[in-house]
Amino acid sequence: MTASCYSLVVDETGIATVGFDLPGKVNIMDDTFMQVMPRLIDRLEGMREHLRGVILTSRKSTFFAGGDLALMRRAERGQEQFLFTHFQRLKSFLRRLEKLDRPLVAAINGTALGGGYELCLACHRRIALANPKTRIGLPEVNFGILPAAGGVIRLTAILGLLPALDFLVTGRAVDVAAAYVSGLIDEAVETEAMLMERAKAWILENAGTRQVWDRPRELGAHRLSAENRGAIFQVAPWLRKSFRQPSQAAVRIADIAAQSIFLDFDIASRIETRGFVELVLTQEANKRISAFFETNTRPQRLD
Amino acid sequence: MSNEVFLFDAVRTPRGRGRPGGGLYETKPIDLVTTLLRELEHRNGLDTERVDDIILGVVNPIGEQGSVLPKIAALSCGWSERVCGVQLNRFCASGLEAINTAAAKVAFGQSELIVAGGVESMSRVPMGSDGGPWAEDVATSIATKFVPQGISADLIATLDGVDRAAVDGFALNSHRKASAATRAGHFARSMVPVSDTSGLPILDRDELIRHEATGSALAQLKPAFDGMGAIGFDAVVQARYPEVNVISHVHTAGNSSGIADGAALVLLGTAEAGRAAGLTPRAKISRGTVTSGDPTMMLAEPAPVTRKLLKQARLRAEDVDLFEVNEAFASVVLRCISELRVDPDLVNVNGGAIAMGHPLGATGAVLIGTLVDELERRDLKRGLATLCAAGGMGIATLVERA
Repeated sequence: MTASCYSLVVDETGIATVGFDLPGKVNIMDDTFMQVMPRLIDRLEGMREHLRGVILTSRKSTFFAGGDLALMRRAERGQEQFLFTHFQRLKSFLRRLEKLDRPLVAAINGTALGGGYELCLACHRRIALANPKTRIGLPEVNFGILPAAGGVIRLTAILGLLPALDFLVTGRAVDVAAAYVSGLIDEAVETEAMLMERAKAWILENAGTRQVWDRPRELGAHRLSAENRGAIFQVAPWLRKSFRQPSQAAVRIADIAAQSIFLDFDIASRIETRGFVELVLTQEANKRISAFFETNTRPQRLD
Repeated sequence: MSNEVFLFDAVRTPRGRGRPGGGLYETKPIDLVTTLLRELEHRNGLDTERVDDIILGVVNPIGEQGSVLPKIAALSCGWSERVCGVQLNRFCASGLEAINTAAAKVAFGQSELIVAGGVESMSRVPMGSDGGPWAEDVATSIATKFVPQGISADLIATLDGVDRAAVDGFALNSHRKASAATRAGHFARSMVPVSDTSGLPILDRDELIRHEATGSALAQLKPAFDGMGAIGFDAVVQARYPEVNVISHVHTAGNSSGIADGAALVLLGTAEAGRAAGLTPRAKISRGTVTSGDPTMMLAEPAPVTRKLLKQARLRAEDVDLFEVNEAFASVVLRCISELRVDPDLVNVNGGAIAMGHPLGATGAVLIGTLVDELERRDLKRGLATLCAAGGMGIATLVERA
């Protein structure tokens, strides 16, 4: 089964390219993904000494559609521990990838939404193919939930608190040009050949790279810079001004994003998972996710 | 005008390891407090509008513990906006100072019902985060012969002839008592598990207790304060105590109080206020006081402050049924026991901060809760809690079953 779920090719320079091709029309983070990922990562870790870096891409026309909405739709009271464990496990895959100690590049060949874009955020570099149909973003808040694969805290670390919240609490998805301007991606290229070429070049130029959240940094709210304190100060009034009555999901996202600035990454990540479990069990989330299935003829698609 | 002051309830969180990765690191300090405020409200059917004030010890009131956390905690968990809040800091004595201050306000008729206690998330706001002139203003440090507390604890051991085996033996006993008390459920009445927003438990037990602690494991730990002694603090001590040739650095991480996260609250008030709120008095806060002594020795006041308190109450040490002496360091408690000539079996009967940790602002209130629970369990009358504190201070509080 796994053989058909992804391709893994290592070129002569030691760069591995993983092309996801999970069963179904689009790649989603479903049970198959949960089974495939640990084996894939085992393989990459096993060959690490021979690798210069890893490129993640998709063999479908889209990159990754996102999380397992069917699982979230079935979520009910009593499953708190199951959901917490499930998403902690999902996150652990992304964590192992970004801590492989080799540059990891997302070659975004098509739409990357929700969990799909969170996979990109775990990469050290995001390069997208400028296809007019491609959409990039984290729409979870529109389902009454939050991005539970590290999306809240990684986007906050990459963009800064307020710019990150502008995506996280609106859930808006953008095209490649806008994604580049706002920093959701690092590069935009015109052809598939350039996509792989740029990904490989970046890997060769950036050995030993580490995520900003894994570099030494000051922890504790009392150690925040004046700039970060100022940003946190603005969040609540900005939410009130923008939404009048901010949703439970928006409030939780903002709370977790703000804390993540001054907490250890893995703990902020646990808090993010806890917030997700809280939200996915609300009536609001159930209503919104169910409505999505009812109005969508292709229920697995997020775009 | 003097009202009798009654204790109606006591609650505390479990104590988590006070560093990133500890069980309560993912919980904000304010949520440690709101967890307990909600519990006080729910289990007592408390109309929060009846509460005049919330007085909490917070030793590092900055960052997430800053800006008068007690008042903001009350607002944040939906307590009546009429409830006031204030924080205070008397170093390690803060939690008990909060209770003594609350008791004095109730006795004086300023307030009728008060929540008192303390909080400290030492993982999120580490000890010393607030700086301060004693350690960090050079002229002040020199003039006042500042030394870190571990050096003072080692000085006390040196002067008292207490060796490594004695402090380790005390520590082992603390773990054994805490382990037995936990297994027997002695903390169940006061302990309120900390949960996340979906209701999943985050921490439901004191995390620092080593249930399998052994003397040989304790004996292997390296001295914690010889390095500080070597950089010059031993010389500071010798400037004050020239008779001490060598300071024996017997304290380790194993026989000193653990760095911890936690909060503890008690509900205090007049008999009338309790009746009106439908509360049952469990104990009386009879007296409380403070003293201070030599700042370099620093931690030697639990016995003097206890004597002062007993004298005020016209009692003798034998009249006290149970003692809680904060286990800042093993030598501190050993000195207190020998100076007061009390039966060691009546002191810290359920273990202490060496086994369970010392969340600075909260510990005084933890001791009162533990004491009242144990007086009830053993059907005894009178208990005394005491702590040493930085600057050479000591604090004590006398409670009697209602």
